Amino acid sequence: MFDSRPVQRMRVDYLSVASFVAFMGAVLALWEISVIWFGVPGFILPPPSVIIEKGAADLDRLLYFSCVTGLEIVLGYTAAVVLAMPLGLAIAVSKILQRTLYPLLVCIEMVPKIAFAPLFISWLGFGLLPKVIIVFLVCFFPIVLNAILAFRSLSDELSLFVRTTGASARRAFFKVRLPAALPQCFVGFKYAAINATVGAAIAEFIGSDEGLGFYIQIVTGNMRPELAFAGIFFLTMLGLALFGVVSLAERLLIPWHISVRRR
Amino acid sequence: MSLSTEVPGGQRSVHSRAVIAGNRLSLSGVTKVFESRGAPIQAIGPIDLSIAAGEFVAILGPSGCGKSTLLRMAAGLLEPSRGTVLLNDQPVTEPLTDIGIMFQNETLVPWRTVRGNIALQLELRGLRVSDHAATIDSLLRAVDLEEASARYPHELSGGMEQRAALCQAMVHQPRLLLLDEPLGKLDAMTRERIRRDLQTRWLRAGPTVLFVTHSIDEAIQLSERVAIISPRPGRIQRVLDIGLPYPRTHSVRDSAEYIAYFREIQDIFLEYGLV
Repeated sequence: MFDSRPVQRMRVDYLSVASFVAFMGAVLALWEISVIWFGVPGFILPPPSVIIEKGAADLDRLLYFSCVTGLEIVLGYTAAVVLAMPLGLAIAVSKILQRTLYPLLVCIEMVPKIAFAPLFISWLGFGLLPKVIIVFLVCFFPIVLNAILAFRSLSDELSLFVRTTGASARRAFFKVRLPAALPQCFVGFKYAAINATVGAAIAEFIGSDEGLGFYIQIVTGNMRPELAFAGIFFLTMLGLALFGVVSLAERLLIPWHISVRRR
Repeated sequence: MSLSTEVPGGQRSVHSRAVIAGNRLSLSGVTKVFESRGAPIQAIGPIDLSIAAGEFVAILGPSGCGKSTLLRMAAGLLEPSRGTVLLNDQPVTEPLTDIGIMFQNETLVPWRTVRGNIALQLELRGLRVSDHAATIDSLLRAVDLEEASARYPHELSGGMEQRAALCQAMVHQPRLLLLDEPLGKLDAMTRERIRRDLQTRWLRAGPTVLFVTHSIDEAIQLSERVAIISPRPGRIQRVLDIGLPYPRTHSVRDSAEYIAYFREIQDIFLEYGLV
């Protein structure tokens, strides 16, 4: 599609990794010791050792619910990318859409999308679909707004240069406009990746019989905070996995951009 | 190909050349008025200037006189508020494509190497890059970027970026070259060499060149005619024929004619308090 430099080999900075692991170990140790030292009851704040032990005992359910929530996130996020990118491009190039659809999107962006969650649950029930829609909603807006910005920010000179070559719209798009827009698009992709887990968890809080959000709510109600922490851990892992995939895609697609080079 | 290539024949005129590869460009009454906070501001014009096929014309003027605006109008990228631009007697109503244009800001894209950026010009035109490999090599050699051809724009100095952009503007051998201060960011020695190479290429290939500069020296050394533009609103103050023989080398500066031209232009700028 367009050339880009060969991806730089992922350099693993062992010192950084070791420092971080040691620091996290220290934090967990401090947590463990404090809970014992101050005699905090287990139903208020369990120590990490108990969280790991009880979490491991309930691993089957945790893994299954991770898959459920992960599926909601992946479907909602993918749908958001697939629909928001062409719409962003359309708005960026169309004066009419800029005057009509764009202000509407900005207005909706101001609405907390999560407020729609109970409505979607009541309309569509407890299944997968309402969760996917809510994940889609919290991801869609950052992607579409950044895409509009991205496709409109080609420099004046570059855009004039392309016109002097007489290149077709298609060729100009793939050779110049799309690669030039990608860095700003990734700002939206990353923002949406952070939103996605939040959307899925809250949607499950509101009405669900499966998933990590459902799990956290149920075990908290049963006075099992150690399992709630285990659920939170898996939810965090899902979020990190999605963010990691997006960051990897960024490294592969725009290795030339300053945000990637500086790492 | 090399920088030292000498073109035999000394004095040249447009009409005596064997191959005239350039296009005829003519501006008549070309004016640009910008709206600024409701008040119209005359940026440049009216400009009347006819450039013969294969002619090298410099537009010389102070910063802010609308030279860049004029260049964009000549390229059909900006519609004049009044007046017409003619290319080979045909009115220009849309962007010209048989041109190489160089803006003040380089049009290099950050995801391509120097070579890739030069090739972009060809690719956007649907030309096969492999067919032009020799031209790319020759241009890279001429601007001393052979070693840096695999580098990305962020790894280049300002002067190197400008040299790469010059190659990008010339690689498809256009019939009309519009250059907006193409040597402005180069150090004195590099500028000297590249100026000579530009002259050699022009003498050989014969495109029409419209060259915007604020350097009196550059204008006299390169062009057959110099159009001197007054400060805003830019108007042509004088068009000076430069009768120095080609190829012109740095020693041309020692000639009495060169000094006379220089003084004449300087006197015009002195009147405006610009020198």
